[in-house]
Amino acid sequence: MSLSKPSRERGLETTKHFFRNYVKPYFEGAHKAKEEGKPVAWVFSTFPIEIAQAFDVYPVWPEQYACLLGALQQSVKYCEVAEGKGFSKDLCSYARGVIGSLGDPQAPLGGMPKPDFIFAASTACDTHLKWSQVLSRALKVPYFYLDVPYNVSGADPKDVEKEYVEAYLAEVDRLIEFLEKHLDTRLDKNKLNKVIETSIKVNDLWMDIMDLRKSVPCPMGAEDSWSAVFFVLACPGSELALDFYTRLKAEVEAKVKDGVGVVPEEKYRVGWDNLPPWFNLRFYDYLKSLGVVVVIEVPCITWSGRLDPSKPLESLARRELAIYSNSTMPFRLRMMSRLVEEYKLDGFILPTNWGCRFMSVGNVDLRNILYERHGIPSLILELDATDWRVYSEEQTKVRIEGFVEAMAEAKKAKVKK
Amino acid sequence: MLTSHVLKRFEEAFKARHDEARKLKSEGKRLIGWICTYVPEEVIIAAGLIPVRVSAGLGDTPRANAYLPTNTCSTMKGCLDTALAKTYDYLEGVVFTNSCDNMGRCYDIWQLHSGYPYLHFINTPHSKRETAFKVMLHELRRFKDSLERSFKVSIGEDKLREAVKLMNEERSILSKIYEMRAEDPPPLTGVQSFYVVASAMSTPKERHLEMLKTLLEEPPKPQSDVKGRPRILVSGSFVDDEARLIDLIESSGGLVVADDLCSGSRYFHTLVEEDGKPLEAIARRYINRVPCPFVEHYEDRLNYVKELVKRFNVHGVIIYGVKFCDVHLFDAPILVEELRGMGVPAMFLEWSHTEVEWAPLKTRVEAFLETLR
Repeated sequence: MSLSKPSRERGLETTKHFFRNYVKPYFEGAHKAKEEGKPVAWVFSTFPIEIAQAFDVYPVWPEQYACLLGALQQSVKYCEVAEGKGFSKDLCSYARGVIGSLGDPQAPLGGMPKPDFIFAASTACDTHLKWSQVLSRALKVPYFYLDVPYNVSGADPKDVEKEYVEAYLAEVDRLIEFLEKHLDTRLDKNKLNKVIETSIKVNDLWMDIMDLRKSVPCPMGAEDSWSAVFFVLACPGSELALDFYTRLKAEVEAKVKDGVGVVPEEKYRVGWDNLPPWFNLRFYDYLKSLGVVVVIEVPCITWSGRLDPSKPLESLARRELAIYSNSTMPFRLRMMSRLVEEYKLDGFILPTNWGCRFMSVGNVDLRNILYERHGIPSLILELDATDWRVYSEEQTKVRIEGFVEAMAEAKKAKVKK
Repeated sequence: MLTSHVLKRFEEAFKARHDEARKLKSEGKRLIGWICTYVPEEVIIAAGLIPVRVSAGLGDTPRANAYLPTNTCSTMKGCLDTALAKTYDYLEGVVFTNSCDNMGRCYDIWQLHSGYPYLHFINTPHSKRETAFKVMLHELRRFKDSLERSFKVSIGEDKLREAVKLMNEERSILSKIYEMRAEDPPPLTGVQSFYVVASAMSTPKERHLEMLKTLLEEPPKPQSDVKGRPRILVSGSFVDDEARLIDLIESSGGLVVADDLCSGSRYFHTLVEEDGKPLEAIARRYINRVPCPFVEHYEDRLNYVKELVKRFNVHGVIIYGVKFCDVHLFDAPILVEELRGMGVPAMFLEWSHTEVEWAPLKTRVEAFLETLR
């Protein structure tokens, strides 16, 4: 199939040349840490990374490496390597990409440096556990799996059952023991407090930036957000993140003040559930050419979030337990309804992700209920984050045209009311 | 002839399960469905209710397809389709567990569309450490309270103890029958064994126990045509409820002598301790059982399979992975590698309840069996 060249354009100054300015140095830093004998961990999303950072562990984020393989249009090559080793084509393409790239000296950025540990949590997906096990066997390094309950009642963070919060905190204690044992050291509580203090600031800055995107016109588009979310997910307790978001917030604030939006004429404001097609972020340029701006992405606001400085660990536990990947439909609907209202959305794009169950099941009902509640159309788009073999650019364009027409109709209907 | 007649009763009981259940309902009995073997039937029985496994049939799932995307596992598609088709119209509710992303997300869809007045979700842990035990115990208490409230019953410790005894007795006999298959030639085929276990999941326990005891009293004798066939272990989740995947192997010249399936030995392996507090003992059993691959301790299952291979003198292993079942699909290459490492030929086949291409599947199975002769 034909695939457009990947886009490297960003709308903001702070995120410009994001790969060259931030991603590459970050991975180089990881390789350097490894050479200097510092501990390096591969840490999956939704893991309480701050605890590892308090032990001076250098976190590397395998999903980000997978995105990078996608953005460089090398993911399919590595997926095929994993498939050759017996991993099904229907498994997560992030996992297949990273597994396939193991041990390849030609892999981008020299691959990820060999970790001392692998960290995953049950709050994201089954894949993180199984993928960790495959990596742990292949690399002969231990993994730690933080096993906590599913937010089955769909509660908001403050209402999550106390037994579940207790289980989370018990797992955090076990993680501390694990790190103390393997690194032959004791947790420095002052260091942990410092990391958490930084993480609170970083999360606040990030959420402030997300709040600024409620402005009309929207000052920051999806391609910037998908890049910038990196630090809050990969290393929230670091000065690097603090510095980056301080600058980013100032730039976005200035845009809001000057009334400068992502496109000259913002016709439709759209929310985005799940992951983007990393192999072609030009996708968003196509949307923009139709006056459609993606003003908020669900993973960008729920895989991070504000913490309570008076009880940071408990609030971290509550936030992670009530993360959208770990919560039932009532939670997702409340969150998405709030986004529709606060971000003044005209529509929602609900991509499925071929190798991902939790990002695919439920989209039909989300679409129907969002329409019933808010009168806005949603587009279910068959995508995969990095395996473009299940994606058709031309068909997608046709479907988007239909979606834009539906948004136009829905807007007219609202005006009539 | 008597033997095969006794064995035939299990197949008949399973095939007539819906009619039998409707009859029970008309007699005033109350039945509850369960989706996954991590649902503790003990608690349902102690509530005076009859547990019945909801399973996916073979074939397309047009009703479920209206809500579930293509990339959902066919087990969950098939189960939802039964709810929408009212196949299990005699059930008063269905119980889920936190077994995988497919199941967790599908619970949402059941809540919106299944029409059952009672649905409950047990937050099964994915590990077996002390924290997991505490969570499981909390979840069992929550489940017990929920049944008591919804069905206006009281579940005392004595009732739980009785239920544990009943389930343990069934598990013990199933194990004994299963063990007979270590013999050469084994007195039961894989298809016959499938129905012995499948019927355990759909027949009231007392009745099934009586059938099992009859089978023990009149132990089956090997069929004349099974000698010398390659001895196969089947690994996976729930095979189809028509036993066609097992039959595919046996009609191609193999003989299934052991399994690592949740429609097989993983269902009845591991007893509940009968001393001490019953809910605690039940919690321990469900987190310490031979795990499904959604549980962290995947080595426990690998070791279990390896041990079965030795004990049942297995010549080759066939792994059936349901499409889009992430946890099994990730484990499959590891299991193949481990088995080959110990010199045991292993083959992995991906399939789906909704669209099985039987002919190519059979060709591959035949080719594999050929290498074992």
